[in-house]
Amino acid sequence: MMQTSISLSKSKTDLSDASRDKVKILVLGEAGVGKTTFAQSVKGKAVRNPTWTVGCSVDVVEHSYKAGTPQETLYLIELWDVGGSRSHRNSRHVFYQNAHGVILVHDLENRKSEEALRLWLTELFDDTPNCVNSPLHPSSSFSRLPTFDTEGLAGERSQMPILVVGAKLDMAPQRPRSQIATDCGVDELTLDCRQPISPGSTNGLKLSRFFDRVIDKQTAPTERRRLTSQGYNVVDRRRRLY
Amino acid sequence: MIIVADTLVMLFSEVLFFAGGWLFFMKQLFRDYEVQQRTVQLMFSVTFALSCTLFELIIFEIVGVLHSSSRFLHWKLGLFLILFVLIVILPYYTAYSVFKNIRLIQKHIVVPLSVFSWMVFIYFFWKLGDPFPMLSPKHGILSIEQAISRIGVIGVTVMALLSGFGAVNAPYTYMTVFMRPVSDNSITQMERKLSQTMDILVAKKRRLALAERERAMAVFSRGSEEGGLLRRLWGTVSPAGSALREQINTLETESAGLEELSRHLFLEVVELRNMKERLEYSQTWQGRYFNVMGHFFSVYCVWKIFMATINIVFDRVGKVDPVTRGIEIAVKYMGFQIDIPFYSQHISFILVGVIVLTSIRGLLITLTKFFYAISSSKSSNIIVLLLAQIMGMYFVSSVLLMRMNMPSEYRSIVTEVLGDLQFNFYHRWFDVIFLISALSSIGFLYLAHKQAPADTDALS
Repeated sequence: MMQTSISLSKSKTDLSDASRDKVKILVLGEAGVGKTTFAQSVKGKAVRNPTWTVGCSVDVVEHSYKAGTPQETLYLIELWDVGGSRSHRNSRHVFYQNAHGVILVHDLENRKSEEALRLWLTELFDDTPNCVNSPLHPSSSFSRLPTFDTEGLAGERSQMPILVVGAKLDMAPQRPRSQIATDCGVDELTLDCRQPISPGSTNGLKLSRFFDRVIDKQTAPTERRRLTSQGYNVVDRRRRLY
Repeated sequence: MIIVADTLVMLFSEVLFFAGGWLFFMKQLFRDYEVQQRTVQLMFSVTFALSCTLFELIIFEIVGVLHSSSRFLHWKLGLFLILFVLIVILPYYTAYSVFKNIRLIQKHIVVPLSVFSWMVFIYFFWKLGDPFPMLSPKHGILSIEQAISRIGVIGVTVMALLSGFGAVNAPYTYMTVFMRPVSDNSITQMERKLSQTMDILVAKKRRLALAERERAMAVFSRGSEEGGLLRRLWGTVSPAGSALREQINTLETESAGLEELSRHLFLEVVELRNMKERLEYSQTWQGRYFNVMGHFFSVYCVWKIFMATINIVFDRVGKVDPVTRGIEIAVKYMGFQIDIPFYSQHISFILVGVIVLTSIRGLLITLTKFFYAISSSKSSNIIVLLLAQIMGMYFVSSVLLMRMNMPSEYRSIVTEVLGDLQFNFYHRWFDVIFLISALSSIGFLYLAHKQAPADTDALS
């Protein structure tokens, strides 16, 4: 993003410190919803015909933390765009380690991709893969998933910032706010990912606020919070990983 | 009066089959997608319902339910309807959906273009009849026989391909002999390699982002301070500028290479984990049962390939169906005194029923797997229409081939309704395609088996 020349010189001196901090944000969602296009548009590039993401592709974007204030610093944020094919579900957990935030992408044209986001959150917070691929049953990879638990999720939610993105707005302009964004109490962006996100627009501001929240959580000291027992375990795990 | 009652029974069963197809579509096929075009769902369910009606009529024929004249009437009606759907409605609607989705084509050309492509389809459909010895010339052009003969060829080809591949794949998947052992250690090692590659990749991307930022700033800041075009150009071609550009290019190539490596490693991890899951499954009771079944299947597969070869080489045509032959053997050689018509009817009912149910279930499972593998949110509707077409042709041809499994007193209705087809040709064609499909599946699976990743733990 372009800045004024005053903050240029200031952030240049801060660059060496902040740019070493690792800030990792996962971009999750069903196959074909537009995660790769979204990650590229955050970076400022337009992708015409993206191919299916195999494994994970990483994009590094610059972000001015607390832009416009005297504490403005430049951070390098890694967006880990994880491929959403169902057949790769058993190996994806390799990419989930040490993540500081998660962006959930769904397709506004397809309501089922939004419902599937709950399963993605469950997959993320339940680190162990436990699916049995029966040779006969075509849809067995989802038959053994733990059921969605709102309380546990709300507990976990207070540690890892979540952003919900509805892609392909040009195809379905009339969708209301998604259920999962309301349930988790988080922000939602709706956009056509092929258009650039201008920094001053609502979407740009929400994105910027989300990045700031992630950086806050990443650098904040790990304090004890009142959580459910499940949530406490997750905090424990997080501390061990650090 | 009888005809009205029979028609009501048929209608009721058709509604049942329609509901079954509708549910299958919603719950299984379109599990991940929102149904936006109800017409597609309607067509799929209609094709499924009509196909099931044909099977139902065969069973009614054997068991003797309903009046024979009303059965004949419903045969003709059902056949006509399904042929109409398969030849006219489905191809036209598929072409229409394809053209509607392409953005370059304007709205008012879509319909004429679809009609034109339907005519092209009909032309090739007609031409399909030329190389095959199918009909005697005494029937007219627009008769049911002409249409069924061509649909029969396509459907029998699909049946034989699936059958050949399935016969080879079933023992390969179920039997533990073919499963390679995978240790947890090798999986962890591979995953660690993947994480390390990702870490290096991320470090390079960070350096790349910083370098690009420096380049942007170099051009911009110089331009804003001195404000000359020449100065700005100098910034890009100066030694400092070109060194930066080279660094960026190197980093970009290195990142691309690392990304490729990470994808490769990820796919290896997926394969190792899949193999481990298969091994774990084979230890369960279900898995052990299928392992044993796999041994029987492999024997059956070898026997079928052998029989197909014999049939082709010796040009053998089976005249007697297995039910009558089985009863003959039981009576003559084993001396059982049995009531032949009674047993013949019941055994052929059970045999035909089992064949019908397994072929419906088998086809639906195959269609589902196929659909999950190749569909995306954009193409899901068109793929469903193509699958509905294949399903209809498959079921019509299986009615055709089932004639061989029925005793002659029940064959008559099929012969009468389907007309003067060369049934022997279709059996021969099935054998040929089955043989080709089975042999090439064996070759293909052999190559794939050889290329599977070796267990590095076992090697060290």
